[in-house]
Amino acid sequence: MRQAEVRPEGTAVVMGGERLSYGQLDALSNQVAHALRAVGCRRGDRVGLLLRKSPTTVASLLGVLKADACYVPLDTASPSRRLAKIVAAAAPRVILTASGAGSLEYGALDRSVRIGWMDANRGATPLVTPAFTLADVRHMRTDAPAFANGPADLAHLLFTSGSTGEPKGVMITHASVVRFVEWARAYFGLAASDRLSGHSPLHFDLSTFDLFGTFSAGAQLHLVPPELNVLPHKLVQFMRESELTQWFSVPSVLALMAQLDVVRPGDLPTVRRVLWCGEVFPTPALRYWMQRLPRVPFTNLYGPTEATIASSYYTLPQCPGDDRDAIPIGRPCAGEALLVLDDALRAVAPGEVGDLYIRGVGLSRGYWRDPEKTAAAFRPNPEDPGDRLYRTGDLARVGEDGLVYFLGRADSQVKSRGYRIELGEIEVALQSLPGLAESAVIARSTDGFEGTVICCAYVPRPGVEVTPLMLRKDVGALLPAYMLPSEWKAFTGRLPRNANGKIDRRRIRDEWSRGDVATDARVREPREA
Amino acid sequence: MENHALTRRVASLFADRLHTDVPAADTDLFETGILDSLRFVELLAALEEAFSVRIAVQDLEIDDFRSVSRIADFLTMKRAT
Repeated sequence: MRQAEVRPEGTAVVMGGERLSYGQLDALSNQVAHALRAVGCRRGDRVGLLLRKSPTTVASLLGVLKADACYVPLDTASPSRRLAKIVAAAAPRVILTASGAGSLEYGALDRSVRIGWMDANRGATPLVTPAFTLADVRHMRTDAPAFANGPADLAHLLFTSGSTGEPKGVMITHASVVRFVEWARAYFGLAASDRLSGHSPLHFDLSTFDLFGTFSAGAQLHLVPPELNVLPHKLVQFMRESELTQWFSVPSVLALMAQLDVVRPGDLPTVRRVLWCGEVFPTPALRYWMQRLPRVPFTNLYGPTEATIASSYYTLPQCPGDDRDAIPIGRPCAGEALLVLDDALRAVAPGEVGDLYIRGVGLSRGYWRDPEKTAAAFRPNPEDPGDRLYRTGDLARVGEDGLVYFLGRADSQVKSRGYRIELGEIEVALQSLPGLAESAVIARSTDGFEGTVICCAYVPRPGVEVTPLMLRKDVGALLPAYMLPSEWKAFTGRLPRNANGKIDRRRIRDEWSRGDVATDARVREPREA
Repeated sequence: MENHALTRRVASLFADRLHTDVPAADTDLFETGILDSLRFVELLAALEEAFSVRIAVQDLEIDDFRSVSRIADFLTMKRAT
């Protein structure tokens, strides 16, 4: 790592009381790489990271890359059955984990999977004997291991929600990450004096920009404790005390901070840029932020995981004049193209709605060990047979200003609090519950900070008593908390049908949005602070 | 003893209002994803209503809400003042 030679004492990553300098980060990640090699990890192997966000976790992630392996970040809040599916699909050589990090059932793992226990002392010992512990790691050599991976090798596999109930692993190469980071470093002018937020969890690809954007500039990464998300005034206090220069998060967080009015006029004097990605940022909340921080540039980044971090950007020239102004997703980042096409993959006329495709340097190779889903989403470019187009599933149009505008989804994927959720995955989980005759999951948009609310309409089996509490508990064993419906409604008989006899999700959604559906659980308006 | 009863009331509030069975009184509500920003706001409203307390968001400490038993402690303190 070049920065370790340039600024060995300089702070690389901080969280609470734990800090690693560039020298320490380099040495510890080298040690992790040697430890992985020592237990048989070879080029191209996958290594699962089931660890809470921390400086040591960041060093572990870098260590995986230095061992020529590919990291697979695992959500520590995910239920064990979903984790088990992802682990089985990724087939890692090693899983790095620690006490209190997730609920993986070690007994059910393939016996060839080795465990690296990254607790300083053994803490609560896992059920299986780890192949090595953090104490062992600290005894390894600190010099850099020989590195063989090149730009075309996999850097990470990121698992996202799949509409058929199976999470999909998006394969991302070193080249794709490097190309985005190079563009972003130049565009945003990242420098060693920067102090960047590390807000997004490691299983979101936005975190790759936080990490590699920071380290490529020799800057400081300030990891944001995840629980601060529930208390916006603590979050803004964190931004002040960390003297951040860049804040990068998802709109739901920024919108909640705006709603509770936690930013004072003239607040956050160190902040030089605010970025968001992952979902639409409601214009009223954006206007609040831009009025509070009038000298700060605000940039909307857009792009699915399949095209690596972000593929387009739009920096607002000034504060929008009206709450109803649409904010474009903008223009492509270097080396990428955004295409609005019809069903025959021909460009639609300017202003017309079409399917949004992405081509260029950010495109994933496809889904891990799933050629069928890969072929469905990554199409050959009709104008250049050697090239590929990724179908985002988003609808878009090109405006008169030449900028691209996002217009919603062509399918039933939704974004909620930055998470990308296939409603189909929730329905598959619900259908596996014995107490339900029928169920349908719909998403209701709201204007408030909560954005999209996931709702479940269900019909219990005759003679079976089913409550939302029971359903939520049962389905919570299959899905992470952010995918669980927050509104529930029991129907009698059967769910509304359309002319084709299929469940009419649109009608259910429209009735729900109009308030015609009396829900069993109300989502309440937040109180004034 | 009184606190034990309060802990049970908080747990049943999670069940009734948030449709969530919290596994244990000391389960970390943030680590497990049981409480996120949206549900936290719902929880505050439910607590205010059920326990007739006024909770000012800017005075809150994260650790007071880390588990059901911590919430019960917080409510006890809140009612004493």
